[in-house]
Amino acid sequence: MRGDAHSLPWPLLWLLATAFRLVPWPVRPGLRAVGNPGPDSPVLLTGNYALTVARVQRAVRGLDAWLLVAASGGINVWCAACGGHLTTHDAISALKTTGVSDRVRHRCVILPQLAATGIEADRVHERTGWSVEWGPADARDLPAFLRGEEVAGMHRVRFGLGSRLEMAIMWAVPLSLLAAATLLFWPGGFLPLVGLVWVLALAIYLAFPLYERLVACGSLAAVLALLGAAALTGVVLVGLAAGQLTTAYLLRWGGAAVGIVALLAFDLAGSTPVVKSWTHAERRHRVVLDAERCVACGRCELVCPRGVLAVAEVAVLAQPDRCERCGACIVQCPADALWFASDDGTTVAPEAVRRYKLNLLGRRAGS
Amino acid sequence: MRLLETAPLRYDLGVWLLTAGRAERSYGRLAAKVEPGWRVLDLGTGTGALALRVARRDAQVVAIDVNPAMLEVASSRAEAAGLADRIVWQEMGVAELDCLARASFDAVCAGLCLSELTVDERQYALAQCGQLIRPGGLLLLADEVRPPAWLLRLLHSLVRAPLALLTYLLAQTTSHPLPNPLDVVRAAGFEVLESRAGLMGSWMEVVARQPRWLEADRAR
Repeated sequence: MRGDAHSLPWPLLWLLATAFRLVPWPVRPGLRAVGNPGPDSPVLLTGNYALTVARVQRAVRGLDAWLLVAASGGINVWCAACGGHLTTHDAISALKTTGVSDRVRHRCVILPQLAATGIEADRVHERTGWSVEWGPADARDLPAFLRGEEVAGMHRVRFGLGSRLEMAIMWAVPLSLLAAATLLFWPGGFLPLVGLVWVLALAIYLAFPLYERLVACGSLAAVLALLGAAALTGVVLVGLAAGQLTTAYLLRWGGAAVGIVALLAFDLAGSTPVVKSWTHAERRHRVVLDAERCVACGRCELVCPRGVLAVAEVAVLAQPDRCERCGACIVQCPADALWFASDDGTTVAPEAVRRYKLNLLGRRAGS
Repeated sequence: MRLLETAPLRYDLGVWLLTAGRAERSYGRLAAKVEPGWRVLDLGTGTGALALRVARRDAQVVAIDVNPAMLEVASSRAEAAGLADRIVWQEMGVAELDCLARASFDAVCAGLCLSELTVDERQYALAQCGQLIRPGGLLLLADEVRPPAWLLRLLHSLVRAPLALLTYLLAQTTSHPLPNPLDVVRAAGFEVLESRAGLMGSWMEVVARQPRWLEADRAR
């Protein structure tokens, strides 16, 4: 039995893990106690990313629960589930090898909703006897979820101010480190360049809601044009204010600003939880529903983090434009009534979505 | 090699880099312990490097891995090598070993698998091996280990760091060398017959025996 997953105080852990979020940050997997859990306490499963484990522990502080940390390669739940690092096998393994069965009388495990694209609830039940309940999308809603309250938006991903700040830091830190290369040939440029990186990163991510629709349209060129133009305007205004608006200034700082914007924005969509990454092969796919096959079990609606599906007599794709193409609905559908299709006629069958996960380049093996 | 499993085709190169070619030599020696006609279970088969060598010994192999993409690469290699009828590929993790029949294998082998498991999984897997191997059967392991002496550990880390980085970039994989492989094997009730430590103590081959036959002999 282990206590805290990490010895760092929360603010420091948050800062370090956010600054170096592009790399995995693993903590030891296994069963942990939160508070004083007993045989009837809830069992919550999560991945072994340090920040995730700390977040869940903070969210359920004051409650008694069993926290089952599955091996997700030190990657956060959603990315790990999409990328094959938090799979059905990992959930089965956590339930069977950590001794959690000896600690509780019930056989119900609460999985993070965002794991639904990686973990097949039916197979977990079949192989372990544990039934799966899908928890909220955000750990902060766990206390309400455990009280049985339905909070508006608890099953939707949010890209709030805090998350956007984290994404800005996640990109600004490595780019600042990259900027250190200029010390070799342009020492005076280093600090202003780092300043420019941070200003642009913060501006791009904090202002995201203003141009979210453009990002959702999937046009990298349009987004780059918009952000590049905004950055250039900023550079010109600063130049005017400082009375230094020369050609050399414009070429140097305008060029730097556009270059930094390109680096910051090339995977802007993938850095949000609301739009499919532009670098992924399946960005042009859409979820297709065969209403004839639908058994109206409601699982797709339950696991969709974007509120795309609504189930009454049968499921309907009520808000297809909001789809993030995570594939959770396809993975969980017991009737194979959902799959991916694209305009060029290619399809990704439910079995392929379940078996083959996305690699770093967003390609699915076997497709 | 969990992290690199999304990149099965680069897996072998990654393994070769990280183990400096030792894995292949070890697999050859371990496979030589298998006798014709044996039924062998290969844990975490990956692209099937060890499973194929064992199958060439005229053994029947059940090879498991959690990654279906890796299993497909392994399976196509077996077909190309004319060994397809000797190997059954199953997508399953070590936590699911309890669905296989007890004492149904003459040997269990695992190359670069235990170092990929969590501490709990490793313990569970070895306990299951104890159930699956017939009395007197063999446990054959080859894996990365943590050098026992601190100076060697430091040296090894220095040599390994750039290789590990390269391997990670290439195949998004890395491994966690086992701290005490022989202790873990003995704690699971196996009798260690042979062990061979590789360069700088960072690689180890283990041949161990399911010892229950001794008790059976005594009873007779």
